Amino acid sequence: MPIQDAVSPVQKVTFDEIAQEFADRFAVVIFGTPGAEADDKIAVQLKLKNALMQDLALKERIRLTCTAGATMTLADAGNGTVLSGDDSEDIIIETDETTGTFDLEVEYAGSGTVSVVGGATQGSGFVHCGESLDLLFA
Amino acid sequence: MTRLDGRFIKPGSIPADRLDPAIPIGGGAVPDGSISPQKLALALLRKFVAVTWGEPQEAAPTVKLVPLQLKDYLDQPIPAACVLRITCDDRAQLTIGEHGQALSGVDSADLIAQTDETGRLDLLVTCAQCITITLAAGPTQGSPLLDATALFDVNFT
Repeated sequence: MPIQDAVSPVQKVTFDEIAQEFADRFAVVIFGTPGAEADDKIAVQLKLKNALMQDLALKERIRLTCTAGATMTLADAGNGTVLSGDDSEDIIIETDETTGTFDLEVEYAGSGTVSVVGGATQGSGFVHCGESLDLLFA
Repeated sequence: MTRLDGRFIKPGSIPADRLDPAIPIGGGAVPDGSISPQKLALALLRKFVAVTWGEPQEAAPTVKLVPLQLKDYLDQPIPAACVLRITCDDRAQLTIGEHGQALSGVDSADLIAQTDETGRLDLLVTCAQCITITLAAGPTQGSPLLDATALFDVNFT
């Protein structure tokens, strides 16, 4: 057996080898499956995962923007908090500390696709918001 | 023959039969879940910049000096000039003291500033009311990867 087989090169370090506490420093925003449209509103849950793509129960601040003409708010009795811009197309939210979720409700009186995208803002940690969401309003 | 513990192994430098049996063969030498900030090279560790706040000082009757320091995940200062955005309640105004420089928004509640080469920024918060002002930092154009989770409350009494 050559010695090279016994020594793992450092370039092979993977996310699985990252300690849990360290992995939890890196949040990833995931959107759930949107609900059915009712009264020009669609509800969808935003959820945090860590670098290992495990559920992350954390309070994270995220800026959400969406297609002009639509508005966003916290769904009735939903998890999370709207910090600013409630009922507008540009809101700053905080996920629920115990679940890492935010229950978003998007309202659009017209028909067509409304896109929602997240991003880091004041008070954010390392949060990856590469996934956007398209909602189809009839 | 004394076995080696693998800490200083260079590939090809020793025969395989001298490896400690605890060292996994064929890769996987780094156990899952074992890499913490302590094990990162300094250059990599400093890619993850965290905003921390120091103790506020009275600069004038209605002005508090709040030092902000960039640190790594081992709580060590990061000596680097970084751009960040700082916002607060509209009832207060922000500007910069001795350390760091303002890039835009001087004397407003929405300031873009740069830390000095030591990673420090002296924030001067002016408020004429007896209230608590919450400061929030965040990334903006030109910012590095920034962990700005920590907010800071300044009490004006």
